[in-house]
Amino acid sequence: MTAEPVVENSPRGAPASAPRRIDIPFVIRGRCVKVDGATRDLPHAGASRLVTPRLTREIATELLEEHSLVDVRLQEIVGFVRRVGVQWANDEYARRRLYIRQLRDVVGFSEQMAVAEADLIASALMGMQRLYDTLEVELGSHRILDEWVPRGECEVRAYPRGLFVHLLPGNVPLAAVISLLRSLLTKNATVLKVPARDPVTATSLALSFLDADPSHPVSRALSVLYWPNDDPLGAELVASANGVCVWGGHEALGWAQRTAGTEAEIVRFGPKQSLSVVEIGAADDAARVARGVAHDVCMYDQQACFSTSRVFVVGDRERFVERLAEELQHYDRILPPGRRDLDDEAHVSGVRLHHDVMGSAVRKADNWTIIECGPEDADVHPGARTVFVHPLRALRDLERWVDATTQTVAVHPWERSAEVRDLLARRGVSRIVETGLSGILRVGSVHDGVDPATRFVRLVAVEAGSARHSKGMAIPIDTTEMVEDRQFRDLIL
Amino acid sequence: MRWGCALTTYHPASWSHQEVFARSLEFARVAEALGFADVWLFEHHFTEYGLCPNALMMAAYILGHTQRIRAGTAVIVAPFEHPIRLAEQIAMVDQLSNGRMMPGFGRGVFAKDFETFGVDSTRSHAMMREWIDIQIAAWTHESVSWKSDLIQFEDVSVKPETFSKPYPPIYVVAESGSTIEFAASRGIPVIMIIRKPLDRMRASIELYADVAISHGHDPSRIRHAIATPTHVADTHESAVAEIVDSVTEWHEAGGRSAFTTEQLRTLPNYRFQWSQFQDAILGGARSARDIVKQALSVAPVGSPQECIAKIEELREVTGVDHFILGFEGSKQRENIIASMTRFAEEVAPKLEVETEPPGSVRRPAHEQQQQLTVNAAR
Repeated sequence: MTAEPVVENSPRGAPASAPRRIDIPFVIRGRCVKVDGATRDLPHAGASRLVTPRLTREIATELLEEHSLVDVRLQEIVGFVRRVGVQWANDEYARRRLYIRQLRDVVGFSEQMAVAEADLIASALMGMQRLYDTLEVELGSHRILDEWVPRGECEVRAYPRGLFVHLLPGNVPLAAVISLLRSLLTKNATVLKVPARDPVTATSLALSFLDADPSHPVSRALSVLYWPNDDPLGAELVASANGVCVWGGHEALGWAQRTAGTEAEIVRFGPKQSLSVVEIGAADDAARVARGVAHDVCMYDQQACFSTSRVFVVGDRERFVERLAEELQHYDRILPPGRRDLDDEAHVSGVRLHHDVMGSAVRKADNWTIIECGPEDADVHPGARTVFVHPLRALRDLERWVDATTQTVAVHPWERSAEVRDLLARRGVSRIVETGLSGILRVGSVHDGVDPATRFVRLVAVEAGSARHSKGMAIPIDTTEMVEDRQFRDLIL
Repeated sequence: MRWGCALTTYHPASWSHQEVFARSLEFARVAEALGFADVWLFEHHFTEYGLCPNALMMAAYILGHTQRIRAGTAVIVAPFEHPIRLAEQIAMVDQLSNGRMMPGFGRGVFAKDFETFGVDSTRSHAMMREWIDIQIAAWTHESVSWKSDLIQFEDVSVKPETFSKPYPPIYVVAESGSTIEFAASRGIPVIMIIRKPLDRMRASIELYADVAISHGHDPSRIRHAIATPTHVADTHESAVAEIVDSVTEWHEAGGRSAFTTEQLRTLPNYRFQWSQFQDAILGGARSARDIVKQALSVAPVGSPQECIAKIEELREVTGVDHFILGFEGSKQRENIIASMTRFAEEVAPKLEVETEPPGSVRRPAHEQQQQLTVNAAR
């Protein structure tokens, strides 16, 4: 008898002929709303049947009730978020293990990608220093969320906008974490609409807040649910929100723009592409550069807006491509791709065939493709770890191939980035990073050209009274006297 | 609903060792008379936290002095015994009790135990899992051989055979994710300790269900259990007041014997227990009393109406309807029996009690389960 499981206590189920049903609950302000009664099937391409509750008038009313974290000190919010993160950091945490399984089985991530995602969630929630620093950088002071902070001749305080509805993307789970943190740290009542493609990330996140303490103000400020795009109650929620954060394509952005209230703050993270530019000289370690590029390609399987889809190479392109092929194969082992359906495979095959016929150099393996061609020939990108490699005469020539749809440009050698950053920035690029670091998101960075925290708050200023002189004024301000005596020019300078 | 009764054999200073065991038997008989379905025995060593070093022996003793009630172990610390000896002894008790034995297993959390018995605590989880697999194999095969890096033996035929078929219903005390997954893969029900917030137990149940389904088990047919302090009094305040001090002392006694925080931090297979400690601190707990009061705030402790509400909430959140109730919190014999009686008379009837008429022999749970139709879609 070998060391294998033999007999179990309970009867086995019959071989399933129907797709397996997975219930995705709502989380409504600290309360788990189980799938019961009226339900809805999510439009889902995978093998499982995903079932959620339905958004009801009752739930919508509850979500629209006045509720924010304005009276909760930031340290309390950050402390609780960290407590949730400590849970996620423990690989014996049941919620984490379930999330990894569901990310794998429902969303189609590989086991390694799913574990990496859980680790990212843990580090994002636990990074107290980073959370404070981000607010400090983006708002000028993290204290501005709790108290009036001197600024010039005023005291300024940041208030939450109120109810912020987030329309999440389905391609990058980390977006749910980022949106949630931005919203809660700025003390907004937060509603996350889960995407049908990945309903598990935001839901698991919210449930983990309940696992820590469902009665905590932060848990009670957070809701996660699904509604279809044509749901009138969902539209009503968006229309009533004080802020809408929308991630997605042009259709999603347009819908949010049309639906949101006229006074609502709309934060948009639309479709972007990203690329890398590398210069490979005789002394360059092509393998190390290729490793960084491979990471930027493979993390999130090119689904993220910061994922590299094409590489411009100055210098020894052949040596670089050789090394890139090796590194993509290495990543195939350490971070296998997620599940690809027949359409994905067909798309990749089609692009490969097209470029074969066009005479491009095509290298490929089961899970990646490198196509060497001119940049004008790379008009269709199938994703799936496909890397277009283009020749470039000089780094500065990249200017022609970037525009406002380009989010991140990864550069090697990093010391040369200063030569190109102005021209890239003028063309609309919003992030310039070193190769291998596309997914890091440093403190102080911007997201599609903005400091996100500033968009989630409403700044209020209390200006100094008349007894306080402005710089350059020697007497108190009497505005009527100034008008009568036409003293503005002399006194207000 | 299914009601069980925990027999802790905790030794308060006011009781002699003989009184501890005499009262355990008395409480078991009271439980049987009141219609409780099962009693549960705990294994501990070298500590007043529990005087019973052999839960199986204690179970046999109780079963020998009762007619109907079943006896479970929560737990037998599996790594401290040879799995074939366990298989033999459990089969024997199962025979002697006409199938009233319910063996529950755990891997141990008390440092002194591992040191004294010379068992490697870093392998406790692996040993528990493998010992369970070995016992199942031994009960269901004429002969069993085993070879692994933990244990090996050849051609062993365990006798007697079990009374229960295919074998007595097994339980695992499981709170860490990996143990939950092990139990789920085998379709073994788990025993959980009540925790605040209850949502955390929901995560364990959901993980179990997901794994169970992937291994072809129907989780809706697997009956887990929750162990919880219980005390029925006139009001919540009086109920808490009557038990909080002695429950805290009991908890502190356990803490003195359990792995230290430094040990938990470094042991690779006790990361769940380490996370519990971290979360208690981050949640504001500064003493054993704080932790006890948190548990009592969600446990069925209070007036009958409050106990009903708490159990309904537990059932609503976790789906569990089998509760192992710890009535010994007050450590006063009369008070304990009064609380058990009030529970049986004023709480249980309001919650769809599953009682056994005195004198009947209940068919083992797994026999019932095998006859149920499994819905593969859920």
